[in-house]
Amino acid sequence: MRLQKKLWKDSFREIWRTKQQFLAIFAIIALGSGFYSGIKLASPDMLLTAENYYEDTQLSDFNLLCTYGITQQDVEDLKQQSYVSQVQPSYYVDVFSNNETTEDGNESAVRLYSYSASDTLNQLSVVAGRLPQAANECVVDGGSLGTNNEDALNTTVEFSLEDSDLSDQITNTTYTVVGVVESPLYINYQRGSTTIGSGTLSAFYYIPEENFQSDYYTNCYVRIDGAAGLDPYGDEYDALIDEATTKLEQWGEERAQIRLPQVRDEAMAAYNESKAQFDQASAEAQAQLQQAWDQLEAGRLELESGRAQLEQATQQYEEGIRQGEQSLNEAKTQLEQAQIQLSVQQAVAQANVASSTTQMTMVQSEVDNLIAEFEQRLEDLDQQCQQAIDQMEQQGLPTEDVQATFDQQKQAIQDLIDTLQNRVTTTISGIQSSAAQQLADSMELINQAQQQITQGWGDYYDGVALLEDQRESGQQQLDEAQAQLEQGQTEYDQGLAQYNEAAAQAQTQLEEGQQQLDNALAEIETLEAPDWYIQDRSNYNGYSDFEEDALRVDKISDVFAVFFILVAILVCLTTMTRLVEEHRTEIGTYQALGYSRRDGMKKYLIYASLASFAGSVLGVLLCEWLFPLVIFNAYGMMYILPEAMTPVHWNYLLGCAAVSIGCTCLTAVLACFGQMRGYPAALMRPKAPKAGKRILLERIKPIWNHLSFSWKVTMRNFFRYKKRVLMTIVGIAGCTALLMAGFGIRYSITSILDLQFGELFVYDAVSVTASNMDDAAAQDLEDEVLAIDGVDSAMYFASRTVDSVGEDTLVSTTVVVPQRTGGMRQYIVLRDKDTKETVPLTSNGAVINEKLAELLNVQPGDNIQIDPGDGSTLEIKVSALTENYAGNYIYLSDEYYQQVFGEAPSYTNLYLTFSDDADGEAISQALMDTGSILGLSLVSDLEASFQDMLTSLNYVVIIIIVSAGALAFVVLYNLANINIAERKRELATIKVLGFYDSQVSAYVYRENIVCTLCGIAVGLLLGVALTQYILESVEVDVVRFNRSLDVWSFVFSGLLTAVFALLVNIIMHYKLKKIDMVESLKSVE
Amino acid sequence: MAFVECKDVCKRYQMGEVTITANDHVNFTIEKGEFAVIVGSSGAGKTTVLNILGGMDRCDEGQILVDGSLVSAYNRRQLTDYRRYDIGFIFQFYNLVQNLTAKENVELATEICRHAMNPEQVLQMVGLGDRMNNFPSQLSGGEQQRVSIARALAKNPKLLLCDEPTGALDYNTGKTILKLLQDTCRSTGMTVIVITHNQAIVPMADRVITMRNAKVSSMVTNPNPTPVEEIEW
Repeated sequence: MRLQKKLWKDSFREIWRTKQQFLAIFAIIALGSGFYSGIKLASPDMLLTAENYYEDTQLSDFNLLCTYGITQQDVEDLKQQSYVSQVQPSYYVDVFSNNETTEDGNESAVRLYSYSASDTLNQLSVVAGRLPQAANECVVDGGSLGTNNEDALNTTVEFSLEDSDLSDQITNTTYTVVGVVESPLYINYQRGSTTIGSGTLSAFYYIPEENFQSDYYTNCYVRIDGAAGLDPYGDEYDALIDEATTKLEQWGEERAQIRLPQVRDEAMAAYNESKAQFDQASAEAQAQLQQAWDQLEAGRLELESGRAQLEQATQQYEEGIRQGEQSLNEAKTQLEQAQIQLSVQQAVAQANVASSTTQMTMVQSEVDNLIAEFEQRLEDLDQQCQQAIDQMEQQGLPTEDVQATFDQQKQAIQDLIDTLQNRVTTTISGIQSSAAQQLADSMELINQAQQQITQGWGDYYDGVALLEDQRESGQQQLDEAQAQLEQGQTEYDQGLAQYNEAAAQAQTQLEEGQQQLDNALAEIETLEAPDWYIQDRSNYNGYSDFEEDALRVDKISDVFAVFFILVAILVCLTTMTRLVEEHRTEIGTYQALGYSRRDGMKKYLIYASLASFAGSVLGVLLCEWLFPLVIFNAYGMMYILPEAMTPVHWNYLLGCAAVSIGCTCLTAVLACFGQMRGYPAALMRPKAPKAGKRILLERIKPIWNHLSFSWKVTMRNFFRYKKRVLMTIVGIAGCTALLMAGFGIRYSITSILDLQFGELFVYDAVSVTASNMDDAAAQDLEDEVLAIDGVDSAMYFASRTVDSVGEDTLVSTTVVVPQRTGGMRQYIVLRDKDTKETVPLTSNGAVINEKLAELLNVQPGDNIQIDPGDGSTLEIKVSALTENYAGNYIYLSDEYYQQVFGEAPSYTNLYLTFSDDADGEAISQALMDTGSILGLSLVSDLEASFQDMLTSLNYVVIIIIVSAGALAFVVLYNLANINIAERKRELATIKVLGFYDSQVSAYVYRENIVCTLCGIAVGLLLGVALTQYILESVEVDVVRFNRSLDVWSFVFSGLLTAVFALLVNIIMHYKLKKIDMVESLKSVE
Repeated sequence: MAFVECKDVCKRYQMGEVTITANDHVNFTIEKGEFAVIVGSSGAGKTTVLNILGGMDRCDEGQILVDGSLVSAYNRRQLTDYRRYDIGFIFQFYNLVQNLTAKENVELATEICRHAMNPEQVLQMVGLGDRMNNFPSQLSGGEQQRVSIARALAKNPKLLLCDEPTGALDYNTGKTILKLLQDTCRSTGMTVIVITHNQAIVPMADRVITMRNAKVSSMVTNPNPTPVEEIEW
């Protein structure tokens, strides 16, 4: 008893004396067991939270669907089954909604569920507002909203169907949103697929049950007896569900057999009714046709009589014209004859004038001849006179007499001429005037006649004009009549054509109707029993994913946990060994005093137990709460679940404490045995210092000789304390590897954003157009969109969601078809991951993303199977793989699409790119204003929501960095501490020798630095492997992480580790400074 | 003026509530080239004198002069320099670095010294010419102490301080070490101060300082020191 007391006292004193070592063990145990339990428990806590949620909301175990709908009898019968505890029939219908508060905007496909206040299964959790009370109130899916739930309240939402009237199915189509809810059927953000619209549901709504008008329930939720209280992700539950599935399937078959005759009778009744309707309609149609034919016939007769009348009128007209023309021609002939007579008279008169003029001319010419003769004589006289004068002048005789004689003679002649001239003139003028008189008289007569003729012509022309007028008006009347007749003919022809068409159409319709009736009859005859679909919880959205995610966390946790425990054990071992070594004399003394080995050991066991117990309790309690919370919240971004539950797991607490105590005690025992192997005397003697040794490097003279003295010492020490060096390297490497993993994961995931949305998906928005647009309308819309300010380019793509069928997986995949293969690069870049070379889209194969190829385990050249949504399987040949990080895609060319699907793709997605400074808001507004665009999603929005999700990763990275830092610190500090403690004498001695403080530190640090550098190098290599492992474990089906390495991850982790090491070294410097030189004088303990 | 002079040196340690006076007004002088022995029983305060004299500790009162310098007024850095250049220290347990060979241990000192001697020569001088490349664990106690002496001598110090240099050695080996120290003193003219509780060594010293109860009880000079070979204990 006294011994016990003394032992405890001794132990506590020892703890106080060596508080640093104690703290080191405490810290590393706290860190190790805390990290282990914290990270190990993240997964169970995640599942526990989900399980509690399922239990609280009474999540149904099964959802039953029947191809013919579920009847009240089915429900009643199901309730009678012994293995069923609760049955809740319900309705749902997939519709389009115009609710703008949901993230996908208007015209998105949503599912309407029935809500009844008496529902006990799949209870809704109200996030805001309240549950519906009036028939026109609804609640909306909280997961589909943005952050602000309040905005959705009191908005009005209208539901519709594209090709039929929704009010046939539900009473109200317009609802007021009164609440925002969460449903345990949807714990993630996927809403499943549908047969309407783009094939993807974007939200769910609950509307009061009374709105549904169907005679049958759509589905039925079932709770199995005994399932409540079982762990839903556990084996026991799985077994129960498997059993129940078999029973339900059997039940479904039985019900189907009961249902078949009912359905057949109903169908037959409906057939008969339709047949009667058809017959009636057929008779009505025949009658209508006959009536129309009669009308047409009457029209035809009318037309013919009209035509005869017209012919008669034409004849009359032509006769009248002909007579008019004849009388006019006679008048014309008379006029022409009168004119000729008149011309003859005129000619006679003119001839008379002409004959008297000729006479005058003859008289005149005779007179002219006489006058010319006289003028000749005058000239001759002149000549004679001149000659006589010349002769006389030569003889000098006077000339005057001669001259005078001559002049007299000349005068006589001249007088003769003048007389003649006068007579002629008088005679001529007499003749002339009588002739003129005669002419004038006859001319007057002629003129009078002429005037009469002219008047006659005037009358004639008037007659011609009149006739012309008559002809024209008559012709016009005839033409009009003709036109009317022709119009009548055209109308008749049209009527006939219409009649023929209508008759043909009626015939076709009747035939079709008959065909339908026949088909219906055939169908009724071959009617098969309905199929029951027994869906267990794995069909609920997110249910299985959540478990997988939780298991993924568990998988990572193994790596980290093992690593931390390993380091913890190593640290404990060194620390305990050191502690025991320090006390070897004491142990020897105890033994020499007569205590047993066990007694000697007790103190160290107490010491180790206390440190590890305290450490593990604190570490486990803290981390059990912190780690699951942080990890759950990180994953919480992807799930809609309540707050994380982090109960104290006593088994982990006790287990960790037990293991930690066990480990530390074991190390203590090992260390003690190592010491106690000798006899007490040996223990009491100072332990022989560890002998120095030559190292291999010394034998390599060229290197060794070039090392400075200090480096030689360092290298020797390095090999002397192999265990410690190894441990330092392990610790540092671990720290670096952890950091690498942290940074690496962060890089791998965040860089997806830039790659996916910056380099691969280079379009800026996708707008969805109505599917019933023809080519011209589509082209018009494209032109209209291109005209919007800020829109650079636009191109149609077809897209549809299919399931890719793997060996044991179904991968939801989007099939994308560009309208023009050539222009695709501007919107989506298909390229090889490594070479970055563009991958062409050809007409004889598909390009699929790499992740999909991995999931389906195919290579280019292989075929993949897809299910287009109707259960059939289509084969697609893979021609190439493309780089892609988010989602799974199959890219097909138009030709190949048609080849695979046997139909032309429906180009309803208009991909857009914006100019650099475009205003997304304004553009989306403008796009919606076109009226032909049903929905729009901006890449920037998508990117932003992605970004939010990734932010949560930062917490995980911070946890890793802090843990790594703590690890590095504890390991380095502890080892440095032990190093100093072990070498106290040596360090004191070199201080005595006159080493400065900095030199003393350097003496120790050089080893630390080398260790740290080695550790970092090893750690970087380890980090690469660790990062790869974690990424592979964490990766989900829809995301491919960027597995390439980032230089900065290396740099940051290296630097950060160096900083941690530096911090420890700085602290050590002060410890070294405090070493007392007097230590050197003490004897070896 | 004496080469080493201690004037009214006091040193007290606070041990919890009790104050222990290790040195109480210690006064002595040692001349240059003397072989001095400070002798006294355990707890007489001789190690404290050595610590203060060797620059490893500071006195609370009084003055210490070494070769005219006031060592007691030195700061931390100056004390380190003082240890580095002026003092050679020989430990009772040799304090060799186990991981270094004999020669390297000497080099450890010469590396940091200005007027250091050649390590190999010094080792030959102490008679270890052929063991230079051996590690301490491969050497006997006497040999290890020789290495320790060589390490101190190699620095060419003003003062050689020896703390119980024979304390861990057997009789004969102890004698040879003492002879080595005495010969060194005689041949190089170095001042050597040996601290011991062994009264038998006293006759070989030039000067004997006896300590009792933290005080110097007597200081005697011996004009005719006895050679080591003739001393027995």
